[in-house]
Amino acid sequence: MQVSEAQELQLLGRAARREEAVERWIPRVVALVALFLVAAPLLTVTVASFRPGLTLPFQAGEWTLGNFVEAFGSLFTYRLLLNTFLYAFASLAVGLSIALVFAWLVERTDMPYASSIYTLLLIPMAVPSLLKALGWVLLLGPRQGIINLFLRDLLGLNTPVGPLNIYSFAGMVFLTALSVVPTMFLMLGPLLRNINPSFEEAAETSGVGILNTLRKVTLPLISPGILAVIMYFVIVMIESFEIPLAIGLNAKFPVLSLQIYILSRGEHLPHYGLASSYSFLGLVLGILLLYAYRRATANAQRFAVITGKGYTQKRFALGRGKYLALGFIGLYLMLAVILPVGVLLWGSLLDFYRPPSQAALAHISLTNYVEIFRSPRIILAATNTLILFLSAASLTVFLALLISWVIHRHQSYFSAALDNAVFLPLAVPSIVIALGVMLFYLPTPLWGTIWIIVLGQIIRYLPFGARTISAAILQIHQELEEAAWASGASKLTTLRRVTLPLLLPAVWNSWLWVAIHSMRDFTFPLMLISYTNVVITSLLWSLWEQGRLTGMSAMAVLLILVSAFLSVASRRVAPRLGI
Amino acid sequence: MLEVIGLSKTFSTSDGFVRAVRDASFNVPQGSFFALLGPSGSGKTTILRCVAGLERPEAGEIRIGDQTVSSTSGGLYLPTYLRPIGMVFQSYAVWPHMTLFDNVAFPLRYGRQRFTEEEIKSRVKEVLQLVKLDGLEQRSATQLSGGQQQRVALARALVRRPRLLLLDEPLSNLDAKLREEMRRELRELTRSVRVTTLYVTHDQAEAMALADEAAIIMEGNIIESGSPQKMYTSPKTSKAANFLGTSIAFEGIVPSPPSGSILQTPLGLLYCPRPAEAAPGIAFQVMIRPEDVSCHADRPVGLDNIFQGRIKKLIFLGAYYEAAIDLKGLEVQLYLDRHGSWSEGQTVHLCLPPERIAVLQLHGG
Repeated sequence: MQVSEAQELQLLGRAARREEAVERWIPRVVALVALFLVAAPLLTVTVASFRPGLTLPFQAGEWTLGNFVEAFGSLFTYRLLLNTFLYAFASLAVGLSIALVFAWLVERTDMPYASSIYTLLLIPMAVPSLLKALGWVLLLGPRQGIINLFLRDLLGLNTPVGPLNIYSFAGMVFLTALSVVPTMFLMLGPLLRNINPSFEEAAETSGVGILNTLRKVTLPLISPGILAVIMYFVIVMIESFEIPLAIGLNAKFPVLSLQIYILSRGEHLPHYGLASSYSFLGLVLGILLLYAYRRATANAQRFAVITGKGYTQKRFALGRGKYLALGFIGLYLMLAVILPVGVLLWGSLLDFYRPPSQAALAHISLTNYVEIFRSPRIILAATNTLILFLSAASLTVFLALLISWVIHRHQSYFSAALDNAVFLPLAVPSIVIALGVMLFYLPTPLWGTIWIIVLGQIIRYLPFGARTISAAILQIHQELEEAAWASGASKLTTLRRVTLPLLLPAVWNSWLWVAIHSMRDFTFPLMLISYTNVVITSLLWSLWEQGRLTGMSAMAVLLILVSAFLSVASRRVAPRLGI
Repeated sequence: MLEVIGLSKTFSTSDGFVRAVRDASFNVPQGSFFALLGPSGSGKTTILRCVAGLERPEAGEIRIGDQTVSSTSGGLYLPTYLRPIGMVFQSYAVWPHMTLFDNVAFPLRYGRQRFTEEEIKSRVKEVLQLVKLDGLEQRSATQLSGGQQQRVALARALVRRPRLLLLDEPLSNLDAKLREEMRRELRELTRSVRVTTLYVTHDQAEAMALADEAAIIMEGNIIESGSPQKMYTSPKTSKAANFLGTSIAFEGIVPSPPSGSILQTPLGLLYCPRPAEAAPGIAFQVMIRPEDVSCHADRPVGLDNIFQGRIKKLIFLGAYYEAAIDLKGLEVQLYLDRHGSWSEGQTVHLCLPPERIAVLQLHGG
């Protein structure tokens, strides 16, 4: 059938108009959705801080400055802030020192098995820090902690408690430092690896010794990078919630995140107004820190000595020191993984919890694991967890894809605004977002369902997803897409056949990243829990609180296994996708 | 075949608006090779992208064959994928996640017109033979060299037999030797498939070697168009003259009383083609290509326009000498025969053949 020129033209014109409409509206809808998701909880927290006690932010009723008066008028708030910063900087100092030594050992010395050790040092990431903390409570709890029992026996002490106590400031710092080492190590490694060796060689040929070269040349060169790592981790520490929850409550060492939890979801009558004014404080603090971090990293790029270029580094000969090095790394792995996971594994095999002994060995069985598949509550929690991480990961990545695409392919007045808005949740502590989500959606039917948790996590993980995918889109030369259009492929076909396949590695990576984090997140499940939306992590915590240690341990072991499996899977699959 | 009428395009940047293309019009006849030639930032790529539909012009009309693809007055704007074009990009844009075959088959598989697998196979095979890539079908795109990627891009642009082939500086990413080779091949190839071609380049040698016709673009304006030979030998403007090659230029004034085709210049009286306007006192730009100037050790007889100069500097370059010659205060760069006996400080006689001289409007854009 011959189509006349006029008909053909009409047809083409119609297709063009349809495409134009789609192209004009998709970015606007995406921007609106993203802005709404991010802005709603943050504005809610701000509004709620001006409402009294139990009043929801958008209910009719009185307005007050009382929360701020109460917060800033009491000495407790200043102690809270001091605690928060003490905790952040102490953990940071300990963690960073360990991570620097590890990075130096792996990247710049002739320590044996360096590449296996590199992988081994990432294993602690698979253990959620709350579970690490619970394991250590079983080891170092003042009364029944296994190590304390052993020490009391050894030293002939006749006290019912001590000599060590995990429920202390030192305990919190110890656990937090253990948890942050792998991530810090990952960030510091490239700094040491990519430094141009001629800077150091120049110092050595000037007659300066190795130690002074390290002190006067190497460290100053990587200091902008280290500064960025420090600032990033200050943000992480301020938002850290799991270890304060497990330890800080009993240690009587409240920090900001814990106090917000206590005020909104604790045992007492909630005080949303006060919780919100503390959240507002956290929000402002977070944004200031993020601003400082972005300025610091922008400046760091002026130090052009750290490039992506691979250099062959001269490695420092450890000699007999290598045994010390291996011992140090072994000790870390012992403390960070083997002991806490070991004690959870032990607990999971018992009918009721007791410290390891000859007698207890007789009671070992797999009953707790079998029980997991029988208990309807656990099955509900497991199903919910499955729904949670599958939907949170898929929706986050989908939204991140759309947002990144709009930001980079539709340069317009709102792309920059969108870029900043999406970055914002990175600065805001999870617990603050969670409180905002809770207060905003409490009156809606979403409350009480698993979807409220999904929603909170999407907001939380959006910055990570959007950053990863944006970076990948920037890597794709625009001409690769234009070439498809010029080949006669429509925008949709181009997206499907060219853009998406090229983005696949980044999409898969961020999906797994979000999935792993979502599955083992405690903050949103605990803040947003009601009866039916229990997930594995919130169930774990309630079992712990009820003292049902053996069932809790079995679930913890399974959670660690699944999370470890996913982490390994991501490393296995990634290279095949060409990452 | 391709008609561009009154095309204008403005970009907004952080420093305000940039008028990339101003009221550009040109015509490319069926089957001819047309080059858009200009320095970087002149707007030549913007014109090409408007023709492709990758940029949306704010004024003007573009017709490919008998089909209007973009018309601001008619409110018509066809998106790229509906235009009957094939395009080769500066970066080649060979998709790294596909094999060579899949890259070339893409327009047949996902374009508007549908083909059977059989047809696709035979068409791809045919076009790969044309660009001499047959046998490499299953190579992954990442295993191809720059020159091979170039050919893949060309094959992909030709495979659906477009009415118009668009080439955006396709040779600029190749090294010098490969560039010359590809230039020759490109010329043969576009001749043999007789596709109308619009070619963007900043390299005047490339444009002259390839194009049947060219337009020179500067600051968004088409300042001159025509066949490369004509524009090189008798350009209409000094900008075009300078862009196409080196030239010796100076001012010439119609003497009083006007006398035939003689101009008063810093060198003295000069015979040249008769200027269009001959009122006394009017100034023109006089231009001649250095290679048209001959240099003699002894004053030649029987030639017009002989002027005396002095070799200021002499550099031996192997194939020839490069000489800087002082010609009555005017410094002239010439290549001299390496068999001549030249020396610095030597007095020489330069001949500017009248028929090789171009006389241009002084302020003619």
